[in-house]
Amino acid sequence: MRADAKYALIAALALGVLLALGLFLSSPLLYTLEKDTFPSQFHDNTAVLKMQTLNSTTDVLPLMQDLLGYTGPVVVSIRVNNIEQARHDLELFAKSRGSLNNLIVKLDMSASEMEEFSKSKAMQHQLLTELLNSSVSLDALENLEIRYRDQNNPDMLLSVQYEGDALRKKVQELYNQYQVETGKVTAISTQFGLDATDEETGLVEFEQYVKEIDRNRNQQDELNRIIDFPIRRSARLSFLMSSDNGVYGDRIECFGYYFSLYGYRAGGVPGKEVTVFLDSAPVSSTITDELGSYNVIIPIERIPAGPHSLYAQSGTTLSDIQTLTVQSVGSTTTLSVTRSDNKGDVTCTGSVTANRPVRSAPVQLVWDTTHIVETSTDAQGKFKATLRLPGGKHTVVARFFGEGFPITPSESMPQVVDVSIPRIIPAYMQIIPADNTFGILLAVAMIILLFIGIAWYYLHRLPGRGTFDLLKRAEASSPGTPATDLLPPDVEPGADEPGQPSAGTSPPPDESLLARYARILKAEGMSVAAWVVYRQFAGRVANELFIPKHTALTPRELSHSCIQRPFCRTFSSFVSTYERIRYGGQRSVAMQEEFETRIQSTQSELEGGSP
Amino acid sequence: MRTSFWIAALVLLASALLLTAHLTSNTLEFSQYNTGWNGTSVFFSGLDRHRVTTVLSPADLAPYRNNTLLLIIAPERLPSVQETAAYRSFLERGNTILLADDFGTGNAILRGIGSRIVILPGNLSSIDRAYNDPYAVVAYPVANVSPVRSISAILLNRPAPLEGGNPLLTSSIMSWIDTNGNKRIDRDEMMGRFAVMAREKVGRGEIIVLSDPSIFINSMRDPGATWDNQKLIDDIVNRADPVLIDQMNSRTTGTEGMSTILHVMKTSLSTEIVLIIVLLLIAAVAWKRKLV
Amino acid sequence: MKKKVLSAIALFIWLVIISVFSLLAYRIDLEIFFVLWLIGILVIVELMDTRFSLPRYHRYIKYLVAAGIILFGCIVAQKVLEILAQ
Repeated sequence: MRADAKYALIAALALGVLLALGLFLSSPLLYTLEKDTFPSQFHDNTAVLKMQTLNSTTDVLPLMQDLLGYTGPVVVSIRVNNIEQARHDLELFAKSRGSLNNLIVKLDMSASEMEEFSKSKAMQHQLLTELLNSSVSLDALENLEIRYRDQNNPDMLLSVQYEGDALRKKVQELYNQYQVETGKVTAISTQFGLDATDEETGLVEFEQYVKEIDRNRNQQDELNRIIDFPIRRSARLSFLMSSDNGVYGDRIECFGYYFSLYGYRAGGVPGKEVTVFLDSAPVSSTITDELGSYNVIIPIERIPAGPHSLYAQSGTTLSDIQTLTVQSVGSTTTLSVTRSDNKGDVTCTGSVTANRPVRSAPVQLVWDTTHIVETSTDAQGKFKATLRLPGGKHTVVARFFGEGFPITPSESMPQVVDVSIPRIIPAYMQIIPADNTFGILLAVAMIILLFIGIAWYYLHRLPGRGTFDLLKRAEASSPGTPATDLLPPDVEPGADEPGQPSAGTSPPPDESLLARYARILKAEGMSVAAWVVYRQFAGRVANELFIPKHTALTPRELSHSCIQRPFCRTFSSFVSTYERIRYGGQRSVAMQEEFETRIQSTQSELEGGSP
Repeated sequence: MRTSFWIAALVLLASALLLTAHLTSNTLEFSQYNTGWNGTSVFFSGLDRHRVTTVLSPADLAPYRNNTLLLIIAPERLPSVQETAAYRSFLERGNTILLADDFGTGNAILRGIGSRIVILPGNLSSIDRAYNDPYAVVAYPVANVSPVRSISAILLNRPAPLEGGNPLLTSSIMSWIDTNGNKRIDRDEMMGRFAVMAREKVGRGEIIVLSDPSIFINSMRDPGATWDNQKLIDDIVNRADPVLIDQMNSRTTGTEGMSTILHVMKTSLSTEIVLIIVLLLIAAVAWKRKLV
Repeated sequence: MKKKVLSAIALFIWLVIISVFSLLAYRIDLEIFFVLWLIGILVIVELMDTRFSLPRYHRYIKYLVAAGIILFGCIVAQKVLEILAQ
């Protein structure tokens, strides 16, 4: 094939390839793994899925089975009065519940039977904790009852018995609720094939326990009618309340005297510590003053509605038990939701008010009926929380359950919030205003011009010139510096040109051209010296005229390409002399003198013209 | 000169190979010419030619008396009357059909041959999964019958639930049907155990339905040592008795464009003979030139 | 070997290397290919450069490199536009 045909073929092929590439100009990303996984309705590409093996029989069901085994032993421990063991077991129960809850969140199963199972278990845990506390209180009450019977204190006895009855009723209620929850748990367990016998045992034990305490009660009633011991009292503590019923926010004043009996004299005893108990739990402490009286104010805050027993105790002396009836009031919950900001955060504010603002009340913020965020009100009954919502429309409701408060639950009106999350430009990139067309065009033009400038520089930079050259040119312009600076640095002595002066001796710095010429003339002869001088001048002329690769040109060609400059004529005559010496072989003395004259005139022209 | 000749020849050869590879494969779902992740090329290339026969028309089913297995993988259209009749008589003679379909077209075949198994629509999701996608369901055997005889667990890819028949493979108890496609369990979705492979005796033969043909695709061939997908496929294909692959109504025959031409060329004998003669002529001409 | 042949072979090998790496990474991106090609051709042109002569094959390759630089500038401008458009 002829050379032209070959090149034509290659050119055609290259053009074809470039055109084909040009088709993809708009979408340069030809292939990525993500693109390969086009959504197929039949199956998913497993190569891009994250590996996460889960096995219900090994990961989930054992956890649930584990949880089933806690409640039975706890009830048994409570029944045999092994309080420590029961508390310990309840703690372990709480921990296991935590792991199941984490698993439910991780698997996003919050609307499944697993979640209902977990909720029932949580309820069971709560019921069992309350059962434990009630059991402890019942024991304490039984001891008190025995003591009062021994002391022959019928008022206290009756009050203690009354409290005992209230507790027993509570335990009965706990049992009813526990029965419901256990029923749910058992149903879900059988559905999943788990073994729920421990649950059944627990329920049976609970029932037995309830029957037991009732039996004890009946036995005590029998005893009460028979025994009555008269015993002398030595100290007495009185306890009175300003009012025996109240609502949320009321402050009940409790006061009394601590006095001791010496024979038939009664005297107040100062400095005695008095603790007031509400439902067998201490609520307040104070010291009797010099008269032996004490004064305590009990605010009705987190006290459930209904009757409660209050008494005071100092040391081993107990006062009468008074009943405080707390009435429940209605409440209203308000909610307002701000607009979402760029990250999807919305601020929810609101308040819970009964007859007064409800302080420190737990409030649940429920968004989209499944996501719950807990917060609480402050001292003014207001709450404020920030929710981070994903994009889209959401409904937020605030709920107050009133647990532990003598307030009926309430919830706010649902608030709808629409969240849109814009893409964010970091601040540092906002130098160029994004919505300003002119600004964008200007920026694009600047970038392209920058690169055009780089390309132009690349094309027109001088051959073999480094960046340091620019500095050396500046130095060369200062007068008095010898001609060694004018040498383009790529022309080194001893490079790839024949007939070089011996490479060993490097010229001493600051040597003038003529001195150098003289030195080399003496050392190596006329031809070489002439050549050195020509090289110097040629480099300088090429620099001035921007001639690339001037060493590829013969001296005559160089002088012919030197036009429109003041030194051109002298340079041309220098070149003709040089040719005669170097190529013509004329080494006579007259020639030498003429040459030296030409050197000087050329040098003065070149340096005279340089700025 | 010689070097450049060899280099050019090498480049031409490489491009010819690449072009062939590109043009003969496609990206159709389940296609045996699709070497991508969703094709069945590896399955088909691993079939033993001596034991496995393809069925191209209903008449091809006639000679098989009993104990033959017919594999229908991912039927793409409703069966014609002749095909349904052929399947039914095939079963009557005591053979077995294994139908793998999760898209619902298989229901027409099942109805036509008189089976009570139904492939229900819906995305079966489960807690037992291999990837963080609830549709990558793991199924367990519940019967010790071939082909699930020595299998511990199978990985499926978007199966459908089955109803009816005797279940051979079921999902675990913590599985549900995702009716609204949000990949989560919702309040109205109940958890339970769902069958994915079931068998039923019809006439003297047996129909086995597998509600996930995706186990045959290339990316599901070897999902890991934990799951016995490879074993299940081997058990199905490497029986001692003949195995037929249905190519009348299956997505595995999918071809388009250039690969249709090549497929036709490969399958029809006459075009192969013509092609070989043409190549021989070209070689003869080139050789003759050289001699001269 | 002559510099002309050597530089063509070097460019070919460099392009094969970047193609192989893009295949291994399952990512075939024309922009990355172009930028790496530009780097390769810049290096090769610089290494091929002779001090005292201007061979025919070297005379016009600088214009190709300059065109590549301008195209690179266009790619940069496009990327900036993409970021601003977000």
